[in-house]
Amino acid sequence: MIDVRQEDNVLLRVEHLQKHFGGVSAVDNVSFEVRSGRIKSIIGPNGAGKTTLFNLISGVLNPDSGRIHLQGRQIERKPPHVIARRGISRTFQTMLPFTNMSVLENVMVGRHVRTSAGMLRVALRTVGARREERGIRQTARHWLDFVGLGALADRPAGSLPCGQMKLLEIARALATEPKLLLLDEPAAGLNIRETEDLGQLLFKIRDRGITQLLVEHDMSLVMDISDEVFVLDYGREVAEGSPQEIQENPDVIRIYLGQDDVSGRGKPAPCSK
Amino acid sequence: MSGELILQLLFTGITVGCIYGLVAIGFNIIYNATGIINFAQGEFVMLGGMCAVWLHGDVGLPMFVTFPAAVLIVTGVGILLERLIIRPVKNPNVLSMIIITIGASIFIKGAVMIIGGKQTFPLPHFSSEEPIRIGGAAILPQDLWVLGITAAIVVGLGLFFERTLTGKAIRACAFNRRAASLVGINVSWMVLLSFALSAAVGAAAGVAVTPITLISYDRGTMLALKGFSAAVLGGLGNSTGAVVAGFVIGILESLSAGSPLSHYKDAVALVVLMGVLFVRPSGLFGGAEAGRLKKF
Amino acid sequence: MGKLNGLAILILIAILAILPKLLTNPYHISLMIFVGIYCLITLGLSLLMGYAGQISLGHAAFYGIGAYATGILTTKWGLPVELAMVLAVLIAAGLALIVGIPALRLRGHYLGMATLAFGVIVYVFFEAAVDFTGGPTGLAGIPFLKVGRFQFDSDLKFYYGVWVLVVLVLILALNIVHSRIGRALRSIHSAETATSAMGVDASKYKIQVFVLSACTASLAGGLYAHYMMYISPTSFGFRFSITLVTMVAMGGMSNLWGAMAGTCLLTILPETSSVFEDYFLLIYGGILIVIMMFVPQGFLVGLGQLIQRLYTGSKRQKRVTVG
Repeated sequence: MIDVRQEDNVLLRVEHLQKHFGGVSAVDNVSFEVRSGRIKSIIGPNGAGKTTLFNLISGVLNPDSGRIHLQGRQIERKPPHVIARRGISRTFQTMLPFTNMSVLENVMVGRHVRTSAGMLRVALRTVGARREERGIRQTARHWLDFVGLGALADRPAGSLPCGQMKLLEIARALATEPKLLLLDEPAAGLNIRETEDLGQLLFKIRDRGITQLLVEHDMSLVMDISDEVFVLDYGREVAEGSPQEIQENPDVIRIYLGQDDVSGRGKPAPCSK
Repeated sequence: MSGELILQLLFTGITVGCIYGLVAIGFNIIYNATGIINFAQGEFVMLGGMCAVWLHGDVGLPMFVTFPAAVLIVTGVGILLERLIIRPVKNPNVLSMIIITIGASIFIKGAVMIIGGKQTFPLPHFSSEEPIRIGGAAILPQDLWVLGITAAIVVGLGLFFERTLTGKAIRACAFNRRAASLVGINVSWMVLLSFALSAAVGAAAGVAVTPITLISYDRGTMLALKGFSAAVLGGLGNSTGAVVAGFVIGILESLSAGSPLSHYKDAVALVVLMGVLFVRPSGLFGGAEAGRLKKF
Repeated sequence: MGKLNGLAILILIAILAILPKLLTNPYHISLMIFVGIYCLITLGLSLLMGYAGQISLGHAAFYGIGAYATGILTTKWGLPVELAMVLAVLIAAGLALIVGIPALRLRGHYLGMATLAFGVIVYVFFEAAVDFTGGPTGLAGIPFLKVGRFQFDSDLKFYYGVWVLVVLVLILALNIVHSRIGRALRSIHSAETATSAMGVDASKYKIQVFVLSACTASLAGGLYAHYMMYISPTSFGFRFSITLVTMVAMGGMSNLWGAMAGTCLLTILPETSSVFEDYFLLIYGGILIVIMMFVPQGFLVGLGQLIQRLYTGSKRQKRVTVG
């Protein structure tokens, strides 16, 4: 299903990305690469510009200047649905499930971008449309099982507890068959056990050949699963390297000093009880 | 068109523009405090006029008592609206609030129709009915009353929002509700106050303009639409903009009434509204924020 | 679309088929024709407002455009009815596209006001363009609806004609709802940012469903024109736009069957007593307020919930007395 061949190719290249809000630089001359098949994490204190970066990459925001390339093609300033079609999908830190649909239907929406029956064909229920619909349902179920939510397929999406809702968002994003999966604080509010399970899931995703870019506060998860870490503070790059290098980097240690919470979690997590 | 006709139409436009501006201010007060657009705003104006007709005509009160009494009654209606219909809504989303306030406006219209009937009612001018001649055109003293009352309201509200603690508290709710409640502002009271103020402003407009335009139960809808045009044109939430925009729309509408397109006069304000919404939703004076709707 | 819906459609067809035999008063057949015509509008509006979550407070305009377009094309330009009807729908679709593309970029209140303004502008046009539309006195002499040689010159024929169309539109709408398009629409309603990130082109679908709803509304307008053979602007104003929204809201916004039920109720009920006419505004206003405050899923679902609550309440009471 996913092309696993391009191991060392650069999948995503961000070049001199700049974004201001009023007088504040949310993202200030940020450049990095994400290599195909790898897991890269972006860390940094709260307000460092991490979610803005995600919003720029996924097309929710337009940069003031700079470039974003996916497999060599420019994607900055493209609308979000076009970027999704090109192969980037994401989860949301604030969690945006489709509460008016079931869990399975949420994942089925993820299949929308890889299917094609239009209003006329579905209204007339052509043979092709019906066949495509069966395929959508089947594939959606597959991804739901992949993240472990298979038993909850017919529950209303809004009724899921926080941790499972996060898994639903991941399943939904995976259903789009992305080349690159953006995960916005997937571990926020998860306990230690759940975080470990999440790490295992992210490895499973990597084994499918899907490249992953995370924004995350949970240092144990970041250090465990990342191939590379990129550190952001005040919108600017502080350091980039392997987890080991980052842990020993004095600049990184300095920006995290003065945080009461050693894990770097400053914001109230969405899943905390 | 002759110069005198244009001047006359200009005067009419300014008077009508005052009313649109006041309706727009009413929209802005509630929108600023709550993020809701109160479709029933036009009914406040209609109620002001109708109450004045009843108080003066049937009850026999003199005009200087009728005016504040009518405003007071309609303020009460505004408070009832907020308490009974707006506040109890559990999950306010935009679509529901729109339909609820439309429902409220229709309900009020229906109630007035049953109580008062379908006919058009007059109200005596506040002072003399003798037109004043200026440069070949005529102004009614009532037009000056409308202008004066509008000015008083604009200045009064300006002072209220800038100088008084309560006024600043309402503005604080507009910027950030959560922060406002965290510093001890009773947001719930501010919302109530905003509805009360809006109703009062609308009612004042209604009483002031009825001697000129007469009043009937169904005037509210078009007033709401045109007032909303002024609010959006001026930048939603911006009250100076609202008044200026009210004048612009009033004058445009009045001039079209003197042109061969006079039958389309009512559409003028609405074409302006659609134009602004399509081209520049933040209006003439609104910042980029006005173009994006607040969440409530 | 599911077996339940399929069964419901068969039952509906059966009821519609025998209804004329049961209705002895010809006035009632006429009433059912109106229910059918209005259902064509509300089915489309339900897709737009209920499923896609957009607002249209001016839909009477498309209804009117359909009526006036076919009326003018047949009376003033002498076109055959079949052609005029098709052109009327195309004209409405075109206008919906022109207005919809900029309007549907707006959200919430702005969209509501834009559609409301559009509705009133069209109404003012109907009243003011006297040479074109006949102005307030209306347009008369509209010919019978016909298809080829077959003329719909009796109420009975019109009844079957209209309801065949309604059932067709209902089937198409149900198919759309239970498809990837339907899910896309609902996802736009629920979380537009998220669905864009999943690759759904929200603008495209909003515009498509807006145009579709304009098409069904204008089709209804054309049928209305050829049924009454006379039209005037008062049928196409703000009051009717709100009636339409009330019909959809009553049945539960995102419920096609509910929209039809709401349409049926709000068409038939006013005819049961003249009191309704005077209290029309009061009742409609009250319905809108009550529904949106307490039972936004519609009165059918709300009624069902109420019955359920009463039932479980009485069971609990029994348990108390026994234990």
